[in-house]
Amino acid sequence: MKKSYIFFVLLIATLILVVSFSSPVKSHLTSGSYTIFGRGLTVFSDLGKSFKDKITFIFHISDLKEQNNELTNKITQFQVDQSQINELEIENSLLEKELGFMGQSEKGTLIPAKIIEREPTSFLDYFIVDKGKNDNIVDGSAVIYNGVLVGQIKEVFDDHSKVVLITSKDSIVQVALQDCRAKGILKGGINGLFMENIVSDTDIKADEYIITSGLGGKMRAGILVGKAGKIQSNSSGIFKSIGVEPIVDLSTLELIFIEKK
Amino acid sequence: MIYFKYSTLIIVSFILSFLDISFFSFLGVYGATILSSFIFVIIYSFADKTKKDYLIISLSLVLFFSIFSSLPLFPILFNFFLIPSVITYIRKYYLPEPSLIVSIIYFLLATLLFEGLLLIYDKAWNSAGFLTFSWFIFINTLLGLFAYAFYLKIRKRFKTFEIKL
Repeated sequence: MKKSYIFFVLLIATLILVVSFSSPVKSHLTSGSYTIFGRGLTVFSDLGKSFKDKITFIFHISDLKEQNNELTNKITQFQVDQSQINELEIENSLLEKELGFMGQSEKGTLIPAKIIEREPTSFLDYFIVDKGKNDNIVDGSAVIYNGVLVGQIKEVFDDHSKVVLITSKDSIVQVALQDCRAKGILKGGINGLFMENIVSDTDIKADEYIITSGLGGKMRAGILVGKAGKIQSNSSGIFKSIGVEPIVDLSTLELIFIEKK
Repeated sequence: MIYFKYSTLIIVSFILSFLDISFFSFLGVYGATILSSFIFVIIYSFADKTKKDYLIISLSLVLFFSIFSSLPLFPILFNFFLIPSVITYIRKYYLPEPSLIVSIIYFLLATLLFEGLLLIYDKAWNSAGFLTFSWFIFINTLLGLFAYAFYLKIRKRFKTFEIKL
């Protein structure tokens, strides 16, 4: 009994040491595990989601009527907006024709992807999606939900990829303020989202939209990121930073879209 | 038989860590999720008669979380190896077997240390971080308590059955 016990303990301890101190081995093991158990992970993640949905539904059943009214109003508003957008698109295409700017659309193709694993510990803003190199996903691609940027691809494997959320301290995105066109860097962290490195004489409007600037070439320009919040730093410096209010609730993400380059 | 026992413990550890990163990771409250593998290893360190088999589970969990999680080795070792080892040590020399009431203190302290380390490691000492921290302790202590009560009930029934025989 003693020998077999020591054998098992030593075997696992050796594996831990190998996994911890050899990055290629860890990478191969992680990738292999996701390849073998990827389907199982998807099934159990789906079960978890549907279970949570059912519980949430039961707890929020009383809010449904109120939400229904709100949504009806929003639909009406969206219909009005849509008609205005259609008008603007027509006007825009006419202007493009006149100016001779009829190049290819900058918009990339969106690939739908399912979240199959979340970081089991609470504070790291990473998750794994079921699309990888086989689906032509590349490192740095934008991850979008409802047309809003929620993260970017951090690591790509054959049939899955690791996504870092914009709220993560490891995330850096090149952004711009939509109206005043000032450029900056979007950073996540413990105190929330911030747009930093904005030239101090920039006049920022309240609730101004923040979009990707396209600088750095990793993702295209014009993807909505959030709204401008409070100015954080003293305007007497060279740069100032502002708080950014996310438009999407990042804790409820399930199906996201990855922009194919 | 011993090989079968240890292999079973490793497989159970794998299944629980697999459930933690898939099924339970979607059942979060304010970012706090159920960590069934942690609850399992804590209960096993209470209940393990040999006072050393828990090490197989503990090390297996360290291995699986090293593979699946982005966390470095130190916090994983601390949470899945050191905490159960300390519980086993206390059991061995001070409190032979915790009652249901005493187990609450164990679960509270274990989950507090577990999430506290992650809170410090990720420097997440803001209101959202503390909310997650509190919910993690509450959820996992409560579930740990239920699981331990269930284990005690099953064991009691099994013992009665043995005596009757």
